[in-house]
Amino acid sequence: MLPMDESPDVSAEVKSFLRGRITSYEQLQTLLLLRQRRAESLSARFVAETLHVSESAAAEALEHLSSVTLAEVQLGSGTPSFKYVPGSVHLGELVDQLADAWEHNQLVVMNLMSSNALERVRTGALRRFADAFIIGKKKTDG
Amino acid sequence: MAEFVYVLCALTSMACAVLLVNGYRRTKAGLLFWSALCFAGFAVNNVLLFVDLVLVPSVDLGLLRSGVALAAMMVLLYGLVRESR
Amino acid sequence: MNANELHLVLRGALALASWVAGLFFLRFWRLTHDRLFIFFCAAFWLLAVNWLSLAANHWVPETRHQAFLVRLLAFVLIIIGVIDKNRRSKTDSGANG
Repeated sequence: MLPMDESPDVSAEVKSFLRGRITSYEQLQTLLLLRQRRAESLSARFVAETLHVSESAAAEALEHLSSVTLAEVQLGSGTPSFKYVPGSVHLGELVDQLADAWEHNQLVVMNLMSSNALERVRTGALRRFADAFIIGKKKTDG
Repeated sequence: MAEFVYVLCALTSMACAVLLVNGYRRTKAGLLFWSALCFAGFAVNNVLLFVDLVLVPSVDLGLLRSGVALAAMMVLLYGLVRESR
Repeated sequence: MNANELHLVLRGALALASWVAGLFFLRFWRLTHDRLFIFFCAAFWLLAVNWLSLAANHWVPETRHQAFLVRLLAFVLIIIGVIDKNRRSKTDSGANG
């Protein structure tokens, strides 16, 4: 029933979501953690301790997730914290599907992320070529 | 009419060369280096076109023009293959 | 070989080189889905047509500027592609066009 190139449990939409918005394993783990504790807002330190990563890695992951409309910064006293806030209902559904896939078929998700990472490296030089023609805006990322 | 076309060729090819050279200066990306060189060559080729057909029509610079363009293309192809892995 | 024959050889080489360059840019488009590469591909294929047509036809000074209209179009296409890229980069949040 499924097309030959689609692995079971992971739809094309979730694949595209992964390719576009999740660029590291830490981001994936952070996203799932945020979702799991969606009633709370989490700090970088909390995420770092729970996931056993460095605080800077956690902070980077949280910032990235908020830049792709999956989390929102909660301003308050002291250190910033982040809450799971998907940018749209559809986005929330995709994250749910991703979490489901992660629960049932971790290997498939990991393989997808590896091949996405490879593709990003291969096309990095080309994207830099294309982005070089953008006048005015100084892009700091590759 | 004819001069207009040759002037436009020279101007647009120079504009492309400027865009590419600026792009290279901005990012120093590999492919941009070779492309910028290529289009600089095209700009020279098209300025020569204007010189050849409008300014000095009695002198035939055709071989020189094509030679410059071919050198530019060889540089570009080298860069494309090299940056393609 | 006289000058005319050499000129033919050079223009033939230029046509083929441009065809190949266009192929590379087509491949880059397939890899990145960035429309800019399509503009470059089309531009180089137009240059190939330009050089082929200069080599294959006998042009007289009165009308030969017509042969260069294709070349002009090629450069204009690149300029349009760059403008398009700039417009796109301002409106979307990182997704490719």
